[in-house]
Amino acid sequence: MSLSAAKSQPGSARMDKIKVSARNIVKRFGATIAAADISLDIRDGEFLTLLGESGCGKTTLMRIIAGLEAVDSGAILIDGRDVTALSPRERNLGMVFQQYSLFPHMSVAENIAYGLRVKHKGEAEISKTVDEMLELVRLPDLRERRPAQLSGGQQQRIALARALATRPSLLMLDEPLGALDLKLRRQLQAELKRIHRESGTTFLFVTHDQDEALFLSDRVAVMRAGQIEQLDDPTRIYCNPANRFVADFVGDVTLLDCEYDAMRGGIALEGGGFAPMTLDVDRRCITLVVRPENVRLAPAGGGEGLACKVEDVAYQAGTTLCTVRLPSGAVLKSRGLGAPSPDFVLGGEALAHLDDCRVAFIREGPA
Amino acid sequence: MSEARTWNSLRAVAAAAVYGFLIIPLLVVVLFSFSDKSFFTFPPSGFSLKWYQAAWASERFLGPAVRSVVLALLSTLIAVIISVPAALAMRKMHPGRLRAAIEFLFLGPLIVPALIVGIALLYSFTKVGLIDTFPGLLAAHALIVFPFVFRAVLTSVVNLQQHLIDASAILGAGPLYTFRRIVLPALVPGLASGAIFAFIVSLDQFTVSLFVTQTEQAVLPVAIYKYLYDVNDPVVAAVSTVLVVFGLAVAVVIDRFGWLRHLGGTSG
Ligand SMILES: Nc1ncnc2c1ncn2[C@@H]1O[C@H](COP(=O)(O)OP(=O)(O)OP(=O)(O)O)[C@@H](O)[C@H]1O
Ligand SMILES: [Mg+2]
Repeated sequence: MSLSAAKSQPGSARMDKIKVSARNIVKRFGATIAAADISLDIRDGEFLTLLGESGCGKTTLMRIIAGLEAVDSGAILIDGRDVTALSPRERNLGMVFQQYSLFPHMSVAENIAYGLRVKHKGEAEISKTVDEMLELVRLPDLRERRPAQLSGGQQQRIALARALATRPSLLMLDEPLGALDLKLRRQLQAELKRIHRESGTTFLFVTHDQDEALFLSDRVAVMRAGQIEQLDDPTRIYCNPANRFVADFVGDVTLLDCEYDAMRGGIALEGGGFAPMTLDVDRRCITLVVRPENVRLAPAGGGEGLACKVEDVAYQAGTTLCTVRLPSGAVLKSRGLGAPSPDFVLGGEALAHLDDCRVAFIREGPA
Repeated sequence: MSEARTWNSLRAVAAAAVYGFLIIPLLVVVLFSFSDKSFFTFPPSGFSLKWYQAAWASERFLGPAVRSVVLALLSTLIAVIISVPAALAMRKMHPGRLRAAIEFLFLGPLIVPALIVGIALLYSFTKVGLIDTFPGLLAAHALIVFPFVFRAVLTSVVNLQQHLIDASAILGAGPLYTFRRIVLPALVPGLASGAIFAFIVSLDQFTVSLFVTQTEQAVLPVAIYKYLYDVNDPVVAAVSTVLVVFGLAVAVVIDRFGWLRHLGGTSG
């Protein structure tokens, strides 16, 4: 495998190609609908993440793409070819599971070589690929170890090496970091990003950790109950959620139902309060997506802003998170750099400013 | 003396009693086999190997011993060959009444008394002319040892991890390749312990062997019984001592590989 493969860049010629396409996938388990008419195009070379809560059908979609699960209806295309009727072994895909799935009775090298031996590759080529893969995951010294002699993080990296050794069209990773502790997770996330770049393979990743999804991915598909609610790049998922569910699911958020008054140039909140901002919308009834970094607090008594009451002040390693309540009862969170300011005390008054430029919208309710 | 120490001493005494109960009869047989008199005395008198020589020379034991070993090997092999696909098929079944019923049926020969099995086989083998033939004997033993192998294999099969099988398939392996390289190695502990157990059970099987054989196909336990019926001298003790040593060697191997825990067997 060429390790200097094209860097994945949105809009690059490679990314315009569709690598894997799921068309109108429907899958039921008894009364449970695990996939309700899912259509999804995975672009060549991209890092696409399925994000959603437990039981929404992420694993099922992945197993359907892999051929481990049959569909009730719909089709899977790989490189434009319909593979719906093909078995997993004929699809040339790679998969890393949440459980450590290395073959326990084989050495690390044998594990990585497994897919190559199946394909009757020559010894010289196998040995060379194993070295390359160990280099890629930066564990060149573990060749002869048994899986039981590896840490969890090492096992997942070897599983990655094993999956990549056969040069799959698509590498699927089903919560591969789920069983690791936080520090190791962070470390392996960075590794994954690098390996994705260096191997040039298309990645389909599954997680229910939204930070992980936003950090790693070129695009994120937010799923709920067997459907994709939004498929977009991480910035748009975060700043321009398509609906209430996506907004709520991704990040710390307050959804403010309000009316936009184009004449006055601002929004009027239910229960009083006016915040100036210029929005490019035609509706009057809107829902504002307000994230902690959109809310700036000022000391009470001076000038404009939404009057509010401080309910909590929490210092979190470098930033301070203040929770305030508006007269309407809505709760806003505000994140500021540095230690808590003496201006804001528990139960005290404050003024909240909404930084309009970072606020996104959901167009809902009557026009 | 503290209460804990009292308990400890009691436990030691109990353990010693159990061991004594198990070992003393064996010890008596072993000592008797080296006696230089043809009748039992205590304490044993003298030392001689003449009963071993007599056993070897009598030709009443060698043939049956070889037959017993071959029989044990073959019947174990048959049980293994049937158990693996049977257990793998059970794994694919939904847990439920049907599965429980089939499992119970497979374990049947373990539950039905050997006497009943023997009588049943006597009737049915007589009709098809299998009495006192090696194939008949082999069929009877395969039936008897099958549950032992099946149970041990089923334990390993239940512990098979689906994601390893899935991983193999995604890496391009067909079902046979996956079976050979992933499934079979995972079944080795269960297979080994089940097979060893089955081997011993077959070697030791008296009742059923007695029913399905007459004179041609005598196996070792039956030969010993018949010899004892005619003469009671230390020849039988010598044969038994050889068996005890053989059994001990097998036990050491089982223990060495840690296969013993698979003998318990659960179908989960
Ligand atoms: N083999 C199966 N038999 C019956 N129901 C199943 C089966 N596999 C999945 N389901 C059901 O389908 C739904 C989707 O399951 P799936 O495993 O795809 O969820 P997921 O998004 O991967 O969840 P998690 O984050 O917990 O892994 C769930 O309600 C689950 O109970
Ligand atoms: Mg899952």
